Formats: sequence, structure tokens, C-alpha cells
Amino acid sequence: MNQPEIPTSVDGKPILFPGGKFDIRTRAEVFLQDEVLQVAVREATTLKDQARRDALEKAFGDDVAEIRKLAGAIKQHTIDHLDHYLEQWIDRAEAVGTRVHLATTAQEANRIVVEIAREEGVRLCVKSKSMVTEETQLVPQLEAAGIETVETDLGEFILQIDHDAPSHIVMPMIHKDRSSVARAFERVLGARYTEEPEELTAIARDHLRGKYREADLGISGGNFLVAESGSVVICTNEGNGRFCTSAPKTHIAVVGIEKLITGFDDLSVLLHLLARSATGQPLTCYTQILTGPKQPQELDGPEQMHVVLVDAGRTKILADPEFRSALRCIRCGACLNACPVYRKVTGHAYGSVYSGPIGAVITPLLSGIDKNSTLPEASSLCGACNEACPVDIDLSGLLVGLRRKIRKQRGSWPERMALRLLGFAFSHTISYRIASKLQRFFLLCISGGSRTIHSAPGPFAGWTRDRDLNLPARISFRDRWARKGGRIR
Amino acid sequence: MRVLLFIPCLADQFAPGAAEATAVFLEHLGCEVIYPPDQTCCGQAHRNSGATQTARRLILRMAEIFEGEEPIVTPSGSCAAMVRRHAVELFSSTEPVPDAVRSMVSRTHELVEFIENELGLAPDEIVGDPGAAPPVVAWHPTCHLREIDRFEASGRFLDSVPGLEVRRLRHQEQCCGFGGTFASKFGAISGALAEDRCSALVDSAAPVLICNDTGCTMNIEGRLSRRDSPIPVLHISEWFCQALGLSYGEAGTDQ
Repeated sequence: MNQPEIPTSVDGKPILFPGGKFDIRTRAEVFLQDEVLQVAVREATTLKDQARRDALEKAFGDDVAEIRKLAGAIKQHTIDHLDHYLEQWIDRAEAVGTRVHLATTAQEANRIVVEIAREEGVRLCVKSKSMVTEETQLVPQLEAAGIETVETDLGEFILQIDHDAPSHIVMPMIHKDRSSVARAFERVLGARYTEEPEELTAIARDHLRGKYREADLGISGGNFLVAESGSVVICTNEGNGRFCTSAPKTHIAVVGIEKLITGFDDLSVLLHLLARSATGQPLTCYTQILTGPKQPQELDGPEQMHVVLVDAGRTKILADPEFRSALRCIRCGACLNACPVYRKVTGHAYGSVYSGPIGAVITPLLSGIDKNSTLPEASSLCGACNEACPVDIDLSGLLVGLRRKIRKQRGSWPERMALRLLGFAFSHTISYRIASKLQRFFLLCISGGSRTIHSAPGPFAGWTRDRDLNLPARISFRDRWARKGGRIR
Repeated sequence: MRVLLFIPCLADQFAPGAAEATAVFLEHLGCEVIYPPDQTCCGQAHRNSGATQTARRLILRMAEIFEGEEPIVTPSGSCAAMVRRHAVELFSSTEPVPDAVRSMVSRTHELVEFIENELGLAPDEIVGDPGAAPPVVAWHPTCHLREIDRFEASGRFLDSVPGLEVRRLRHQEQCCGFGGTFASKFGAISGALAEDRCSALVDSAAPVLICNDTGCTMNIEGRLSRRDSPIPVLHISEWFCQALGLSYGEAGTDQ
């Protein structure tokens, strides 16, 4: 199989799965300079962030925190009893004629899909948006097997024809502007150059409608797996998901095992939160509950329905109680929109299909802490993500947990030394006083007599890159207090 | 009421004026302010860096220094959040949480929270008008106030000060980029966030920014200085001292 071309990022590594050690700072430097990108991402994320707040407030008033807790508990319960619900889901799904496949790794998931496609003699596959298939890099594998595969989500379609990669969980082409879409349509589809959104949508629709009619395989992801009925739930806005899962004679849903929920009562709570958190809509335009292939009494639907349940590192997360709650994630993207760091560095800086706070947590957990060690560090721990998360994941707490792991495994020695010295300084009143004097002396030396330091070496260099540093006060508060005879004990 | 003053290490070194204003303000409100002089750091930097053991040792040390019945008041939202939200979890996995730590957690308050909830004072009971303090201010909420459910509350407190106009900054919910060691390790990202805050401040045309965390203050001041926008940044206690005509800070001790 020849490996298809993977888009390359600014640091010469693939946008996704950069391989080897990877530093978010290298990419951030470049993306921070990209004015167009900065504006596009800032506008879109702040807009969606506000839409989320408004929608939740409108629906739940003062109870937003309560319903987020409830949703978190619902997901946590299923994850804590994943074996039970997984078995139940498989039983029910198989009872209605769904063919269930288990994939331990990403490669296995891809292989299963490609094999089904080959057995069915598939030539053309239409695909709706799915993060897990981005994670497993399914499309290049299908293409390599000679199966033409068309992304039908508008954003994903544009990325596909542009050999680009998604940079946001929900708004995959948040990093692109209209003109780049216009150019891609002109180049690849031979369309007349236009930047009108309606016209661009119409061009894509014309192109895609033909594909749905010809396709003999539809691939989707899944937002939820309902254990009590063996259903796959798919939430989409464009209607492309419906075409993909009903027109072709075979439908394959590729779904991560963490998508399980117990039943429809739980589904109701989560649906109340998913679209509101993602885009501010009360519900996505289409919510499909797919329970098995076409039944004898039914008029339409696929003749075959396959579901590939993907592990790909999820059970590894499950096995660690400290990080298990990361599996609650329903991929709404709210934490990305709320995250100050995501807004600045933008999605491709993370080197993963999962960016933002949730990406900084699960990318190291799924594909190795070692090569992704800068991701959990790249956060001010402002907690905006925790507040945004509809399933109440303590994302900043998990980032700190990962930092602890990193320090244990491979903290750099200057940093370890600095933390140890600081720890010592803080441990005694006398060492604290000496250390403060030393710090002031050091800063005084490099200040060149000014009260403000414009450029500092060592641990202060990052600080003074874009900021000045004021000298510490000549007399600390504790000394002022002592001088004025303030009460102590 | 007797209160124990908990001054963040950053404020002790870089913003003693804000720390002193906190003490003066509390005394004005009828508190007997006691400063335990052996205090150093609550361990926030270590906790955030994943150095849990050191953080645990430091918070235990602080808890012993702050032992007693009195409320503990700090002018920093993030230090209050460190104690209230994270002190206990540093212990949970390995050992029982010492009583001193539990006690410190239950007695620690951020300044404005303390005034509102423990002293039960509304702004108009404290001050009738801005007096000598700037009557128009911009407000910077500290992210860590989220962790003690006070993100909106301190701004609302300011809103009800008679005669004070409080301007909200564009994207006020977005972190100013401080984040302790994050600011140095990820200088470019942190600096870009600081610039967002500063440009929003300049656009607000407010003559002064009010904040209640010395970390944010250092960061924003540093960026304002670099971009040559001489807008003063005041701790909330400094604003109140000015409004009340209380003097704080010794002349000539800042540098």
C-alpha cells in the first residue's frame, strides 16, 4: 500500500501525528504571526463561546452547573461500568441485525473497514464527519485500497480537496477563509471563482449529490451508543449524515467505545447539552437514532449496518482512575472555544486531531506522554475549559496530573533543580529572605540601573520576550509591616 | 474581628503596596489584622508544575503557621483558590489530610469575598463616593476566582460602589496569560494573551485597571510598559484606600 501524502505543517512535520518529539511552541510562534488566522479563530471561538453561554442560560437558567454535573455523572457511570454496557449494547445491536466489530488499535479499525468495503466490492464511499476516523486516518487507507472516499461534511470536504487537516473538533476548517474555499473549488471542481457562501455551498451540494447517488458505502461516526437499544446516535447539521447512512446499501459506523450511554433518559440529558455547548443551537438540525439495518417491513435504509467499536488506547485511559474522566468527553468543542491558548496557537499547533484543552489531555494519554510533553504544560490553568465542559471534566486538574507524570518520567533537570531550589527557599523563613535578596540582587544587576527590565536571561527570558519586568520592591511587605510595628504572632 | 493576613509571595516581593493597602483597608473595616511573619508560599507554583510532594510540604507548613480560629484573608484570588480547591487533593491519595490543613481551607477567604460574606458589608456601607480614587475604572477578573465561584462576584461588588463606573473589557473572560511559570515557559503565547488584555484596556479608555490578583497585575503591567501604554494597575484594596482617603505604602520604598 502506498502511503498517501499527509499535509505538512510549518515545522516541516505532518500537521497531525508529527512523529518523534514535538513542541507546541515551534508551531505557535508561526501561527501567532498569522494575522488572518488569528482573526478567524478569535472571531469564531468567541462567537461560539458566547452562543454556548446564552443557549445554556436560556434553557437552564441558574441550573447550568447542575445539569453539567448530572451529564458528567451519566457519562462517568457508563465509563465506570463500560464492560457491562458494552456487552449489553453489543447484544442488543446484534439482535436487530447490526454486525459489530471490535478494533483494539487504529490500524485494526481501518483494516476492518477496508475489508468490509472490499468484500462488498465498494468503489465509491461517502463519509460524514467523524473524529475517530480522523484519529485512525481511515480515509487515506481506503483511498490506498482503491476506494474513492468523499468527505461530505462541507468543512471536511473542503479540507479533503485542499489536502488540509481539521483544526477544531466541531468547526474543522475554522482556520480557513472564504477565499481559500473559492480557490479550492475553482481548482479542483472547475467552478467559477466566488466568495459568496450561498454559491459556494451550492457548488459543493451539486458535487456531493451526485456522489451520494453513486456511492455503495456510507461511513459515519457516532455521537452516542445507546446500550438499552443497541442504537447509534448521530448528530449533524447539514443532512449529509442522513444521506451517508441511508442511501448506500452498506453503512459502517466507526465509534469509540467511550461513546456508550445507558439509555434514552441519559440520551435526552446529553442531547440537551451537546448542541448548546458546541454551537449554541438547542439541537443539531438532524439527530438520527439508528437501530440496525433496514428491517423487512421498512422501505429504506442500508441493507447492512456495521459498527466498528474502537479502543485505540481508550482502555489504557480507562485503566488509570486518575485520568478516566477524560473519557466522558462528548466532543462538543466547547473547551476549545473557551480556551485562551487554543485561540492563540490554533488547532494545528497541537499536532493532533484533538486540540485545545481536551486535546492537551487525551493526546498524551492516547499517543504517548513523551512526545507530547509540551501539550499539558501549555496552559495557564485559567479554568475556562472546566466551566465550559458540559460533562464536567476537570480539565485543568487533569493537565496538572499529566504534569506530575511528566515530571516523574522526564522532567528536564534545570526545571527540576529550579523547583527544588524554590521549594527549599519557601520552606524556611530565613531561606525565603535570603532567596528574595538574591533574586532582587540578580535582577538589579541585569536591570542596568532602571526600575524596569526589558530583557532578562535564563528563566526570565520568556517573560521579557514581550513584556517588561519590574524590579521587586526594595522593601518587602513583611519588612514594611515590621517597620510600622504591625501585629504579628 | 481578628483576621490573619495571608500575603502571596509575589505581592510580598513585587507589590507590597497592594498588600499594605489590603491590611489598611481591613483595619478601616474594623478588623484587627495580624500578619504571621513566617509565611512564605502556599505551594501553588509547585502544585501547578506537578511537584506535588513539595506543594504538600509547603501547604502543610503554611497551615501550621496559620493555625487558630481566625479567618484568613488574602488579596489574591489564585492563592485563595489554591488553598480552598487544591490543598486537600494534594493529600487525598497517600495520607489523611492534617487537621491544620482542613482548618486552613475552611477559614481562607479572598478579600472581597471576605468583606461581602464574612463582614456582611455592601459597597455603599463602606464608601459613599470615589473620593480621591478614579471614578472610572476597568475591571480585570482573575481566572482563579472561577475556582471559588467568585468570577463574576467581585466585579458586581465594584458595580455597586456609589459613583463608580466600572468598564468591562472586551473578552474579559479570557485569561491575561499569566499562569505562573507558564508566562516564562510559553512566553510567546502568554505575551500574546497579555497583549489582548492590554489592547482591550486601551480601547476601553478607562484611566486605570483594577484587579485582585498580583500575578495578573505583574503580567498586565509588564505588557503595558512594553507597549508604552502608561495606564496604572491598582489592586482593588488600593482603590478603596484611595476612595476612603487612607494612606498606604511608604514613600520611596518601591524600588
